[in-house]
Amino acid sequence: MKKLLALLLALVMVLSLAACSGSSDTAADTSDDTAEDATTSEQSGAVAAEGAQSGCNIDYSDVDLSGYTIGYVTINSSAPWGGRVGTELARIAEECGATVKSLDAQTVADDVTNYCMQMIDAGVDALAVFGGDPTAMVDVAKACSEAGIPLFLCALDVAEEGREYATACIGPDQEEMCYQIGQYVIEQNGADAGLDVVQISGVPFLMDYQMREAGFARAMEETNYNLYEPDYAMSSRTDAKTFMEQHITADGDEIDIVMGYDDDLTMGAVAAIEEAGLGDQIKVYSLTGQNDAIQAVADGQMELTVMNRADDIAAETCVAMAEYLNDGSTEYYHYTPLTYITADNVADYIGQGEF
Amino acid sequence: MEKKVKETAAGDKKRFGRFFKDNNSVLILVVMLFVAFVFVDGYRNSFYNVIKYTAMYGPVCLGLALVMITGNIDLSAGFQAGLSGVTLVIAFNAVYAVTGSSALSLVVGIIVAFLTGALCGVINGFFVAKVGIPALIATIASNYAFQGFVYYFAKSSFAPEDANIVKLFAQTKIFGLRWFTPAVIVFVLVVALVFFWMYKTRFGNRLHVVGDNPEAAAYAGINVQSTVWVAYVLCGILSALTGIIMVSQAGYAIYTQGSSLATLTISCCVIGGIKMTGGKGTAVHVLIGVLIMRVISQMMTSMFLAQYWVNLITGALLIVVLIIDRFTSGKSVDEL
Repeated sequence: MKKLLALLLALVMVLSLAACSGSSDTAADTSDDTAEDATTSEQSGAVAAEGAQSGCNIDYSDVDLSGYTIGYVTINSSAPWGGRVGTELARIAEECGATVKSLDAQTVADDVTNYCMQMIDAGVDALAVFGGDPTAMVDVAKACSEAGIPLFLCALDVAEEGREYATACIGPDQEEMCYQIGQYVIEQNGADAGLDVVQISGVPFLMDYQMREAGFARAMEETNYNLYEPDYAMSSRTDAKTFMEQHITADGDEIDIVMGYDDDLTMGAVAAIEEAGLGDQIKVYSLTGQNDAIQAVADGQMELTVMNRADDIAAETCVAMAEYLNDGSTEYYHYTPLTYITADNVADYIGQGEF
Repeated sequence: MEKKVKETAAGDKKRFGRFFKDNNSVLILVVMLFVAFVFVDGYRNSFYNVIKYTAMYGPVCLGLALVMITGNIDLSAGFQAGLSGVTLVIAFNAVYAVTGSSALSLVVGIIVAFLTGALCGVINGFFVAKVGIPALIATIASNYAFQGFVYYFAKSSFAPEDANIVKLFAQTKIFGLRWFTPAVIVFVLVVALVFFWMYKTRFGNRLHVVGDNPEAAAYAGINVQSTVWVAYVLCGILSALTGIIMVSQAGYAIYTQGSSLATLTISCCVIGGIKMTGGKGTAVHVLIGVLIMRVISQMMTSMFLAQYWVNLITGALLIVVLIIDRFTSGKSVDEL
């Protein structure tokens, strides 16, 4: 009886895997709704395409990726913004006729390289990577180049020695974005105000946070402000709130500005400031453009957030891929638009964030 | 005469039955490989990854198994590997800056990596065997500490000054075969060495005796403390080998190095047949456990499934594998 049960379980396992294997040609991250949207798009042409692009600033209605298989490797699909880059890329690429194969390294940076190599082995027509470590991506870029597979880097560039092998880098210039935020801070407060600035950052080892901090620090060089060392809340809003509470307890009267490098974390700091009743004293600046941060700008709890849309990066990646695959070349840098949201224009963006 | 032949046949059947019960993980591996090769598209082309990553993660699993056989646990083995990889690069770059010699830098780097692993093992062994802190708690604490060191040293990623020489160990394709690398050869030798060490030496045998019944082992004159301590040191050294292979495979050290190994190593050992309660298991069991886990992992990767499916199916498969193991080996639940 026991052996029979074991055999039965083995059979179930085999059949389950066979079923999964059979579905592997279809896209990994596509919901039923998305599939319906894609079907509608094919039937109704431009009107449906326009509907699918609502909110996205990139026009991809003419992009044709029919017959191509796109590989996508991400450092982490469960992070709100980073995960959305992947789901949007899968959705848009499929709308454009491509088949998408995805792999998620679940925050293990070295697995990104491994998965990229497996995509190369699988013979995808193009490979897009989100969140690969710039140094680690050098080998991936070389391997792609050797295999004749174009490599598209979403949001984060490869280290300089790998650029000649990569095809394109798509996303905002993160350092420049934060330099501009710094310039806005100066414009609002003056360069000689001697203000104290708390910095709430994310993961100290990730290059995008390092670039953001570098951009803001570059802008602050033109001032006599006192920049506190960044606090790294990793991916935890709760930790960001705790850091802010500690600053308020220690130097509550002296803090003038909070610079947050990710809205999700910044909102933790905003909660601490509001609880301490220091909303009138401390000005908060941030980026990402998620809905609760936009609302905080509308409510006067924040001065600025910068909307950096994941679907813009996804759509622009598809545009760059189509250019390269169909025409044989594309520009290396594809900068995506940024929307600076302040009290002056916030009414136009309430509820317009991606999440 | 006829009776004797019948008795011999019955004895052979019984021995085969016992062998099957003790080594049913082999059957599980064969089934998994059959499923993978027959039903998963592209698995054949990516199978080299199974061997490559078995050689990479195998040593740390082997180290953990030695600790588990003594009836203890080491949750910090992953970050011991990570830290050893990091110190390899630090030492490599320091020596390279002074001497400019890649070969010398590599030798010193490897020695420093092994010393780092051994030191981690000494620390764990001290707290578990000497101070008497429960292994689970002691190694959770040391895991945090080792992780802290890895984060401190490996901000983002950093590469050796001459990455090409470091890559030779894990990336040289012998006879042009992608799976046949020096790291694979070293791993096979290590498995053989540990296997024979455990069965052919008195000290190796002590691991099982201590894990099976520490009180009885003490009465028999075995120094339980030093046996456990040595097991932790060996775990550290074998973890260091994994760290070295990881750096060689990637060509750099990175802050996440070893972060994914905590649960993976335990899963590999348990699936292979190492008892959580100690006293049972061999190096070959560990090898099979690692192979099973890598075969499953590679199946998921080759199918390009979304992450939630990967997690769900991997979890379900592990449970199925353990249930099959339970029913075919006649083990009780607490022995799994």
